[in-house]
Amino acid sequence: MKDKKILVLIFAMGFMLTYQNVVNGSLASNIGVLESSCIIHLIGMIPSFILFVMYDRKKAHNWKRVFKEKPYSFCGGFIGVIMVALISILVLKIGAFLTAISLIAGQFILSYIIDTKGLFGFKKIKITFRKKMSLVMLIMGVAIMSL
Amino acid sequence: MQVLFILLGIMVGFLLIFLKTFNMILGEEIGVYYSSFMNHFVGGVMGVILVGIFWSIGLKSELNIAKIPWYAYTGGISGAFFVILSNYTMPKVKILTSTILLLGGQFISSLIMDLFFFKIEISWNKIIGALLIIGAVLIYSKKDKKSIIDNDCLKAS
Repeated sequence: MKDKKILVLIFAMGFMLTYQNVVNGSLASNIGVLESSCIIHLIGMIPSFILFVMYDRKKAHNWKRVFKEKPYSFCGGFIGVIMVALISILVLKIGAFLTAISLIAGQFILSYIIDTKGLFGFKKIKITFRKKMSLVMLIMGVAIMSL
Repeated sequence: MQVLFILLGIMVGFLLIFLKTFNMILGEEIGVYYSSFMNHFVGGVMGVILVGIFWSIGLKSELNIAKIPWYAYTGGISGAFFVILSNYTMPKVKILTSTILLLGGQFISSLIMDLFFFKIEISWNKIIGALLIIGAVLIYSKKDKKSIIDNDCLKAS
């Protein structure tokens, strides 16, 4: 907590997210959104493979069991390839700022539903007045932004 | 027209939560980095299949490969390193702190990007709306320890 470098790093990670959205959009504007999303995933495989070999090599044998028990958990990549394509469309159409903010709003809304209904095995969370107000505030924000 | 894209952005935000939830479940079983690799692997394979389908039905995009700047290829690398950074930093700070910093970073960087590089005008109502949205997330996150929105929602894939 005292370490200022960590705080700066997290702040910089916000910049990284914008950077990713923008450069992915730039690739998409030259070769098409789906094509670029595919290439981004193929390129990302290289560093993620190196990280996997460095840190998670010992857990590698688990995947067959997980694939049998929870096959849906492997769907992330499928969602990812479509999602990166859609984000590129958004960046090219409405810019990086509105893209980032609408993504945050969407994540909030679904998380709110998951939290309050206790979906997907997450613990149900009590809806306090403060939480209700935050939802109202979010909807107002989206409305004002859409004006 | 813009409203439709904002709504699409909200839908994509839903997808992002699904993606993170699946990756989190997978990460708990086989490790975060293996899960990240699987994510890229499955995404790459599905991407090749989808592009194949689209091309075969005549929806081929125009390819201007010569025009692509080198940095346009670095998004995937940045994404993979984001995983290692969030693993390293997130346990070290309070959830509210990391949320403020991450959202603040996104807010400022995307604003700079639009204003100075894309030369898009950002009107005041967008800034105010965005501040309300970020404020809502922070108010929601305050004090709560175990909630999906705190732990996972705002970290990237």
